[in-house]
Amino acid sequence: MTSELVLIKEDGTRIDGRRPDEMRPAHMEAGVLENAEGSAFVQMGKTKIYAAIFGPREAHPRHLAQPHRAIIQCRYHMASFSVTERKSPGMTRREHELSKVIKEALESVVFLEEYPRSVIDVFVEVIQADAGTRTAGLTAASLALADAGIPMADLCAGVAVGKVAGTLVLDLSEDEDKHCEADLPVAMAPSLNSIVLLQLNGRLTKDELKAGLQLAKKGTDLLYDLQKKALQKRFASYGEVPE
Amino acid sequence: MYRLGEKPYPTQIVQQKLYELISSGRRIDGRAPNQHRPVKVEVDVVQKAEGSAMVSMGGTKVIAGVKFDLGLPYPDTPDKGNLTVNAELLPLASASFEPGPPDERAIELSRFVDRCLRESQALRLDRLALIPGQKVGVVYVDVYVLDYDGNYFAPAVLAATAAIATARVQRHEVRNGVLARVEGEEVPLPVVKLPTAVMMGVLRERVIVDPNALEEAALETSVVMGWGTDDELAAIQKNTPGLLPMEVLEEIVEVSRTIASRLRRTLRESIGDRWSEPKE
Amino acid sequence: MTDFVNDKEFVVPGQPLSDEVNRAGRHTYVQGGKVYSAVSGTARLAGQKIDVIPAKGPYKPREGDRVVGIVVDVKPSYYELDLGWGVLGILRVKQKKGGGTRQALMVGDVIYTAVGFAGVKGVMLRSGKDVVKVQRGILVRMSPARVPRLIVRNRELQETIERETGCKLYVGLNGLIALVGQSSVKEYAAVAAINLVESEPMLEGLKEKVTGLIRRQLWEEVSAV
Repeated sequence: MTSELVLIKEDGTRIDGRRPDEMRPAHMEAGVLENAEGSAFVQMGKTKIYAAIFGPREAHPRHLAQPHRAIIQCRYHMASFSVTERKSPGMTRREHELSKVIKEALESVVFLEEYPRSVIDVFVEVIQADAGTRTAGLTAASLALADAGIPMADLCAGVAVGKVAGTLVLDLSEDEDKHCEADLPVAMAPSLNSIVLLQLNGRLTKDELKAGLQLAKKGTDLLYDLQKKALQKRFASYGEVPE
Repeated sequence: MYRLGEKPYPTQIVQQKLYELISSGRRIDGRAPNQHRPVKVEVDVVQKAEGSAMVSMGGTKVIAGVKFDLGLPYPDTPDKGNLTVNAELLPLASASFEPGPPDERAIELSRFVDRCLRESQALRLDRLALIPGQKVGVVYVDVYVLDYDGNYFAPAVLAATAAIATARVQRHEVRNGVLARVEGEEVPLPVVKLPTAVMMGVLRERVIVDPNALEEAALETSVVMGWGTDDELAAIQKNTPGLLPMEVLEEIVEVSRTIASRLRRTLRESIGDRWSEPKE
Repeated sequence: MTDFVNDKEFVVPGQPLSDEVNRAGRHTYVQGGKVYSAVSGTARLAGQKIDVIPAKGPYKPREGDRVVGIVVDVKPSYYELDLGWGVLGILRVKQKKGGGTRQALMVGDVIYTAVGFAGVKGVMLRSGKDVVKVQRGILVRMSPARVPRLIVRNRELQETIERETGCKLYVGLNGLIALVGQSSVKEYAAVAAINLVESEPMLEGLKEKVTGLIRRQLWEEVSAV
């Protein structure tokens, strides 16, 4: 039974050997899909996510178009085989909700007024889920937007903080997520020191929330560096651009 | 050169006026920045439901109803009852709500209300496992937004909490391993806490409580804070686009905590002896 | 005043560039007394302002831009042209004497013209003698950030391709290039050359590579016959 599971060991390390403030190995790459305008792949531990951008393009149906700005349409979706028990391939309520919070996080940073009457489509496909998929999905989506060259105020870097066996931990894994007292997904616009996505599932005091956000900030700063490196790598081979 | 967070001109004007007002400590409807609109909680408004509540918060009105049933537990929680929350933004509430299946806003609302009730552990689902692994109590909470003048989150959570706290359900007994109705006897649901939620709006570095629809449209961003008790958060949802500066978060937490406790008091006064805190 | 980056340094969205707000140039924005980059690209510090040259990006119409569009709708007094990237260009129809219009263009026609106005009212295209209707040939797509490669240094690369293949190129800054040649073989050689211009990392020595590629292609085709 679950009660036998030791999530925080006596030496303070976690079930997978990490320290409480340690992230899982993360890997990022921009420009991984041929046909999308922009794309990215983000891996955090066993969580693997692709994101792709299409547009700006004509909004369909046309009545969705806004005369003064672009709109973002976002679909966060998990592959049926991405989880232990097969997930039905259609969109669940959870996926609808996460699509909304990811879309709104991106709307916080993209200069939408630059592309009036158009739509920017954002597709986030989780191919393997091991917790933290909404934040990793947003991290990937913002990287894909930057790859597409869509003007934006900042990248978005996100990570889930959790309270596990009374301890605040950075970057929840699935084992921890299943048995945690609280799950706090946070995404930041790191340069602007602002939050773009914030949710909480579970019990947390105000002091724990404060400490959790500091922990998340530490994580998002690390992810932001990886995002920058991925873009550098992507565009280093892309070469010189005349004025 | 681009401009960050630029809104259409009419919104800019409202935003500027709103900001000037808030900076001088006032709101469009005469409230103070951290003042809630008047709250009214009425329970047992639907007799056919096991529990029900109508909550009005200024010009926003929400009704919640509870139905109870017996069913199979979920495979991953054999020793727990089930909770199912659904919320709908009824087209009669606002010109901006459309008929049809729940859109992303309605789904977000149902999932937020669900998290407030579930994550706070207000409803003790473990006490609803009548025959563990076989027969458990199933609690359906349905929330309908009837009238919308901004912030449907706070009244929805308040109505849902009031409805489950005052619900009376058919009593069952296990006799020789078989579940039997105890005719004529009704029992309350195992509700041990009263979660409440507060919506906080952000305009530049200013923070306001419980925005109305006009304010909502002009805010830079907003976040809903669900408190399970006076000291413990249960759910948070940043529910609109926009940058939320780290610096305002402390104020959001402190103010929302005070207001959530106040809402909890109002709720207790409204439901009187229909619910009492378990002594432990 | 301090600049946080060097000239020609690669920057990403959200990267602080300077704390001198008057230095905010193209593809930057100002927030809290600092200038930030809004795109991934190369920072240029030499001028009065800091500009960022995007490495890649969607097309954004500006007055005077040469563009290639496809007619998607014919209205009583104007045509609608798809310029890609969700941009619809409006091309006014010349009025004939007596009030009727001359339906010279049809849905699907490819037009080379210039942007007359781009703003909140939409994108108006220049009509009259600026308009070229491309009757046949091939349409090639290219990243809008790459198109300038063809036309810098007095259209050096464009003219090289035109000279070597005998094709006429209509280069649209919106990332569409229409080309018309005397034979499919020559047209496809031009397409290959355009693709090379898009994919090569460095501009240096590109003219020689393009020339070599075209000659090789045309020679191979000739010898295969």
